[in-house]
Amino acid sequence: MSKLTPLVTFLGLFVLLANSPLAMAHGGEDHGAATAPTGKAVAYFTSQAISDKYELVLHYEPLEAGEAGKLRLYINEFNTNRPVEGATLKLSSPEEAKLTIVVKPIGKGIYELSGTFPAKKRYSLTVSLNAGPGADLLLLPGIEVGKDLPVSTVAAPIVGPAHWYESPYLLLGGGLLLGMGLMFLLMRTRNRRVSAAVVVLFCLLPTAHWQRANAHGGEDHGAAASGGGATSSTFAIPKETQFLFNILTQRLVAGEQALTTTVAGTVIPSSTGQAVVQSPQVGRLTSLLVRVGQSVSKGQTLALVEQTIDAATQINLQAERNTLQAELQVARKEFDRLKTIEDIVAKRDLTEAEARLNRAQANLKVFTSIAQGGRGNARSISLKAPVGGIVGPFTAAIGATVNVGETLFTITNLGKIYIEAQVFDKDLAVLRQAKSFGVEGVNDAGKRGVARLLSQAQTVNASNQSQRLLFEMDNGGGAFKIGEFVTIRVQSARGTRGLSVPNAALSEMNGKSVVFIKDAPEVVSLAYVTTGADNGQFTQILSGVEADERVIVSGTYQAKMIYLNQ
Amino acid sequence: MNTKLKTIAIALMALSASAFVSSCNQADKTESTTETTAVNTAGTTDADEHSGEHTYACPMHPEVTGKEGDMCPKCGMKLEHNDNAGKSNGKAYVMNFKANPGKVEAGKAALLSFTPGVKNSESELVPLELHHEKKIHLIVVSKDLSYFEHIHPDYQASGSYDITVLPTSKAFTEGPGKNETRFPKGGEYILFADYMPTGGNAQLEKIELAVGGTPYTPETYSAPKLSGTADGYTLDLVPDGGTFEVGKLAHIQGVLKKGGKAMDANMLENYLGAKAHMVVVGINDKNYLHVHPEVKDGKFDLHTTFEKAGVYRGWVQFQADGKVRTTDYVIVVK
Repeated sequence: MSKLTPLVTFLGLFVLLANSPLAMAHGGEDHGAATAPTGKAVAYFTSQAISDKYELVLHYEPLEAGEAGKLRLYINEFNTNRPVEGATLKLSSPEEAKLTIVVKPIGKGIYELSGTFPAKKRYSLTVSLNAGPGADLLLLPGIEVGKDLPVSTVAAPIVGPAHWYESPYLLLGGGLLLGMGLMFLLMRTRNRRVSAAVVVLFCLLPTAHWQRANAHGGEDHGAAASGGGATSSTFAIPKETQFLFNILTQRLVAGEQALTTTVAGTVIPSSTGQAVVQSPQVGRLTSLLVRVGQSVSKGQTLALVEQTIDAATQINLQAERNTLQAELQVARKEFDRLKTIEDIVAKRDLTEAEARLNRAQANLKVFTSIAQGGRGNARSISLKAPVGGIVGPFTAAIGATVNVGETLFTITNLGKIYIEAQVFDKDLAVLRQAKSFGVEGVNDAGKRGVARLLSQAQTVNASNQSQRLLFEMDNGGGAFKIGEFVTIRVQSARGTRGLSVPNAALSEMNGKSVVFIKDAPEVVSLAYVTTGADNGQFTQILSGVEADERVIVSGTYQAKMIYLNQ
Repeated sequence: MNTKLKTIAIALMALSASAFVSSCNQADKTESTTETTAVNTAGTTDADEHSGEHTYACPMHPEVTGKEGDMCPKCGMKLEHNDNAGKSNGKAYVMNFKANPGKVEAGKAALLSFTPGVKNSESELVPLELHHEKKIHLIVVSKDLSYFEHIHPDYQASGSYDITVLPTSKAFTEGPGKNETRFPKGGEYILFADYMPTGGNAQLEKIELAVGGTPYTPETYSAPKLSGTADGYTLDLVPDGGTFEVGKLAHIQGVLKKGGKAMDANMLENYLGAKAHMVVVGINDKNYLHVHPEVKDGKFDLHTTFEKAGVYRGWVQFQADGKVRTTDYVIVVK
């Protein structure tokens, strides 16, 4: 009895273990996620209707005859996938004239329909709809009443084993016999190590089952599924998700797209955009009237420089001054003397004396104006801004001695800038018939401007055979800085006809350009495309899509993620 | 003690062996269940409604059925998967026509209303399926078949599909070929309304309309004209063997030229979901045929069968440079 008790307990425990937890482990989340691409996709029935204006999707959980049921109707515009709000809906059923359905809007483009379907059969609903895009009449077919979801109906027969070898009891019994037989053989071998190893191995065997489930429901399986998906490249996005992620579409139509090309350029100051202020004299900076970054107007005094003179120069100056003053006195005396005897002197002598006096006066005046006051050893020079603009960084400090020709200030005016671009021959063709030049920053595409072509190149760069072109651009806010790299988008006046998509519609998959196409209300497929010209907003599609297809232009990233996670 | 241990060991091994064996079985089963689930994700689409043979039918002539890849001898369209094909849903459809004012006058405003209905069930609303991107294709021809127009009535909140007839002075709101028309001359006209009720088969309603005012001068056609030109685009029809014969599947090649130079038909834009549409109407019986050419090697390839001898008028519409072009033909079938 004492021998038997643990055995029975063990057996009972194991039977329990073998039946329920195993099934649970296997039907767990991993596996479910791997096989069902949309998770809850089978939690409801679907019915759809489309017209040139609208797309209607009806989701409903199993309906019972004679019981009040709720259905969820998603309405969106056919071309744009935009949810339709505030629609007036009138619903009727051709199968049941007396059926009344109450409509209640419960969200953007989502309407709740409630009604009681009297019989267990297949209904259809005629939807008379009026909203922004216009009136329409559609039929939602195949509404099943009294039918369970396909999952359970299919799963039901599997409850009973289809073949004799699938019976769990038979297999359990068979396994028991097999194990006993094995153990019996094992007991006969006297080698304890081998027996222990086999026992341990057999204890581990049931876990091999978990192992297998994992491998099956895990990444391997997912990869195989997406590999199969890549060939079909079709996947489902439930309407609810589409609305949630604001997935919008655009219908592809052939249109004119201008030829464009891009050239790289560098911002340089315009001819009047940058000025330097240099000291004309050796001197000492006595006062600084501006700060770095200050905005100054043309003619504004920036700093005062006091001229400094050494002793020798000072003596020379004094001597020169004395000479000039003596000369003036002599000239005045001579002139006065001749004036008094005007009647007897030659007219020519008088004129000469007058001229000498004038010259002496003028010389002294000039000298005085240069060497101020005559007596002082210093003279102040004010440095003025030659253009209006912003004062650039400078290092001069009050008291510092400055030399002749030393640059003290740089004033930059970013109101107008030049862009220098190196252009190659192949782009010149587009440039010649260009309609506009759009400029955007290389590092910050948010900065934009429109440039004018100032000068065509007269020479070719010998090293790389490019031509230098100069563009002028207004830069009111000063967004573009000198030395910045920019991209100039040259848009030709001549266009080509073709299909183009907004740049937001394009994404990359394995290094190739792809777009997502909405094939059906809840079905999206992936299309590899070859792209052509890009004008900054639209990209031409050379192949991979056809006209009239609806391409996802908003929520592209979400669509890509859903595709990758399917 | 040793015996007890051995017993437990035996029991343990036996159980683990049985658990292993049965788990394999369960694993397979769960897998098959999920796979079935995946198939049924589609809900009430075709996938779960049938599992037997698929029927392929012409989208325009549902009575024409066949295998996948077959072609409709009437209009040359590829047969499409359609399990409702050839079966009738038991409803007889009718297109109710009303003009307002009752007597349409040439050069004057009017409204033409088309309401699809079911015979003997007046109140039933009939939603229409899109075919070639529109719910109703309305072909307006004069009785002498000199005048042709292809327009699309637009659904109104009132429940009818309407065409506005513009007075002479008013221009088309969105260009011709939309939901507006005008009658420059009075006389006898025939309207062909081509539509398909949801869940039903393609329908054609022939409506006769007498327009008041100065009547047009009827033209007669007898000599074949197999070259049509519109705005610099020329489309020549070249039948195999050079002639059209009764009851024989005619292969017609359409050679497209622009400004006298051969042009690849693939370069055309899609118009209503196809590169080109051809309408053929018999001069005598006023029977209507709508053909969709395929494009092969840059040329149109038309297939159709003329069931009666006589003179037919044909029109081909295609779109290039954002505009619909219409070329016209006279086909003599012997």
